Amino acid sequence: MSVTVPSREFRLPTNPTLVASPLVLNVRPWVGHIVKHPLGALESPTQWNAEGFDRLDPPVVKASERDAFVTFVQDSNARGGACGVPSICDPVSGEAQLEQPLPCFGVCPSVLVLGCRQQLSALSDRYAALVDELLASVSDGVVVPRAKAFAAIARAATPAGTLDGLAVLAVGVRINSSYTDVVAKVSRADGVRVDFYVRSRTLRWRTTMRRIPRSPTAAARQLLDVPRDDSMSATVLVARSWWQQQQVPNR
Amino acid sequence: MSISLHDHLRSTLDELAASDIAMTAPGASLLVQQYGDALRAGITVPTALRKRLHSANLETLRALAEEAEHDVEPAPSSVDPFDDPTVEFVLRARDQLESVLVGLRRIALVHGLVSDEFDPIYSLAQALARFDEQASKHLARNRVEQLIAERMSFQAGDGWLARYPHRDAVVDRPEVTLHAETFRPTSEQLTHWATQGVGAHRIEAWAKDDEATLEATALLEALDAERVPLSLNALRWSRAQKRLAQIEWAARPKASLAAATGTIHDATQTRTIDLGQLGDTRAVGRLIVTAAKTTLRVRAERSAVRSVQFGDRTTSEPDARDLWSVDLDAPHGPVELVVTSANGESFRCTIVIGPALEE
Repeated sequence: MSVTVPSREFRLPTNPTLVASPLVLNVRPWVGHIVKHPLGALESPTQWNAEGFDRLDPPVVKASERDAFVTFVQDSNARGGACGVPSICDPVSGEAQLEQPLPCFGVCPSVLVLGCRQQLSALSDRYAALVDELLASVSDGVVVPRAKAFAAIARAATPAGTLDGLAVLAVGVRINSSYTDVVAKVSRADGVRVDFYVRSRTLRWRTTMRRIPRSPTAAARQLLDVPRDDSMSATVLVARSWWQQQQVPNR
Repeated sequence: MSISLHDHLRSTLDELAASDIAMTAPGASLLVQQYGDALRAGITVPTALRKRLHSANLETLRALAEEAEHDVEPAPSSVDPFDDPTVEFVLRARDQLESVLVGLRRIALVHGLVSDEFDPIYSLAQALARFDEQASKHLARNRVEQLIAERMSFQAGDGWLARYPHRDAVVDRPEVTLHAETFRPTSEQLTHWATQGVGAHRIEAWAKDDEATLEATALLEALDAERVPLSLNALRWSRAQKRLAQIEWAARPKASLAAATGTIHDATQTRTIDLGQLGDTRAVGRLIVTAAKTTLRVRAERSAVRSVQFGDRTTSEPDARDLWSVDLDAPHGPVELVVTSANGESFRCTIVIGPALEE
């Protein structure tokens, strides 16, 4: 029932080298992320697909899968289950979750979490595959000064689809109220993003999300949005094939 | 701002200056964004890039503003306080568009336009304000500060963050606190205050120091010598240093003198005085002076202002475009201008419009 993300080791040609090793994730946070992102639990029921995982090619989730999942949860609740996600339990009037973490991450009974994991098996595989996909796209990447990457991506931010297929890995720092993390983000031009925590040069999966860019320039902004500076923030790792197509000399 | 972030921005500006991206190119909005970042951070923009940016004509400005407005993300309708990279992304994108707005406003100013009277830029500003109105229902200010991270360094004064409530106790805001305690305006921030009145509270607090007073005074004198119009905030501060109570403009068209004697009145002659931001209110003012009357126009969101008073007339209602207008028949003496914010605080200033000088 557990999941391994990524499915194999990826060594990334950054300086210093970063390694994404297979990591066995607990069921609870994994189910939480699926419910939150592809199934859109924080959105209203009518906007469940706001992140657009149903519009990837191939889609990570289909409307019919979500419908089946909602039915499963409602049936569970009818048998005494205790799902606390309003937008899933009551797809007609369920309001978006406010001010509280999704119960899947913490308070939901384990038996229900395991049931959900089983129900979401195929979706889970496709969601996990995105991590491999994005890491693979930068695993032979080119290290480029961030400023140079910005100029190249700005030049390519056209409606002609010049950004298609581009993925960029950037490293930065994320600060919360009580802790600081070094994070790495692999962003793809279609808005899919995989975030990792960086611990001793090892990448540990944090989340996979999508924000469909509203324009080519918005896509460029997403690709280059690196949080607070880290010593590795001066450069980014750009998918080699795209970089070569741009015929921008590598520095 | 950390030194490395300064360096990143400078390097990017250099790369963009060397690039062939035209202002009509699809990616030009990213140039404007970096320009806005630089203006907000007080970093000098390479001349070649600045000239290219300033060469954008009004049609290009319109297209860029419309594109940026289209790029405004839907505000988060809910927030997972545990961990939400989606909200982080949306907030950072919002701040990037603030830089686009700042860049567009500066280019509009080069064209002699007060940007908020150029509809596409005004519309972009409104779209961002609507985003903030929605997002501030779920996000406290200190959380926004954490989410936009290093981009906090681009905030001049409160800026758009003022729309977010102080709701949560702040456990750790190292850089933000540091900035508040050691605030020293960049030359761009100082110029922004001098010409557009932005950041009055922080800059005028900084300018209480003797050395800072001299620096601010020198800048105002230099701008005045170049005949650059000064904001009402800067003029008010400058007059206060000289213990003067009112601000005077020699602006009323000569025809008004003729009108007073009953001869031909040329209503087509107008003089416009851009006042900039009024105090620390979220209102921007303009005086339109003709021979026969003076009109005060204040641009402010309906929810931000309670009333606008000009002389003995007061309005408590803006028009559909959030313009608050008050007309006065050519006043000859001092007139009081009062803008009362929604929170009850008032900005007050006494002004005099005298006859225009002979050219």
